[in-house]
Amino acid sequence: MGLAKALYVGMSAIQRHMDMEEAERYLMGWSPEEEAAVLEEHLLVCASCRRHLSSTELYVSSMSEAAAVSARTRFTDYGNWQLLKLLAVAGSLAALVLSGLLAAWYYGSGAGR
Amino acid sequence: MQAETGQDAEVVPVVKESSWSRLVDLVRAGDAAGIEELYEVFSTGVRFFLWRQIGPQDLDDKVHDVFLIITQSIQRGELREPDRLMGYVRTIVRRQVAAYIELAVRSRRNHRSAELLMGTLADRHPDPERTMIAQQSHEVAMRVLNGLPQRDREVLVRFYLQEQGAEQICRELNLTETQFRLIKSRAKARYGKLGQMRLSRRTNLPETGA
Repeated sequence: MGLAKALYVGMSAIQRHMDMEEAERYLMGWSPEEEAAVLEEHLLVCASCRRHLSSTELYVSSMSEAAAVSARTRFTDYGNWQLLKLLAVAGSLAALVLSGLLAAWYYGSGAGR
Repeated sequence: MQAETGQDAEVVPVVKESSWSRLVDLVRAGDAAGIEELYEVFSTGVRFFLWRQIGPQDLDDKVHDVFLIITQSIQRGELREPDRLMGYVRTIVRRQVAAYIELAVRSRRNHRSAELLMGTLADRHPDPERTMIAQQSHEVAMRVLNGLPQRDREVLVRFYLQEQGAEQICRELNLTETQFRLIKSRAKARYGKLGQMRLSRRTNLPETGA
């Protein structure tokens, strides 16, 4: 009966194993319906791809958790850049408000006459 | 990419499409060997999908239910195109999963079968071995991330955590698609290598207390 299994592997909708990109797309729910259907049909009869999918699933979830920890503990480049931009805008606004207040005080007190 | 998974060695044989027809004919005729062959071909795959979607609770019974439905449907002549057997099996599995989830949701909503649901949820907790594997995998992933240059880490954080698409990441970080793929595959290769090192260290540990 093991032979039967080996024979039917060739009957899969895709005649090749899924690659890393396909496995990740599938696991992250990004595969279009047609692609997911083809992959699932292949998975029904391919032990090698089932193992591959399980190990990729472990990898994806571990990387996702590790990335969450990493993002919490330090800023990423993008995060730093965004923060820098935000600080620059806030600083400019503060400078504008301060100079406006100073001007109002200066002319309001009559010192400017 | 497949070289990483060692799948190149496994060549998928090309078989005549008529094999499904033969199997379907046998099942339709009620041939015991045919039914056994159908089970042999699909049982592990069906089990894999059911386990992934609804967990280990009553798994054998669920696999059995799926095969009963498939066999009876074939015998009633509901599978008109034998070449589509694989797609048909997939459809039945999906329907069963959907029905089971609907039942669980309804039970919870009605508070009628709280025990059933509690039992199901309790069984979804991973066993100690799985927990340990997940924990080790997480530690290895942390090591991989911490050992990467800032830009590479940024790519992985965006992809795996923020779930940004390749196109967006490449555009915003000024990367080509090849660079993006390379960063990802290098990280996965490093993860595999560190994982294997850890595994071999564990298996090489001298037995204590022997």
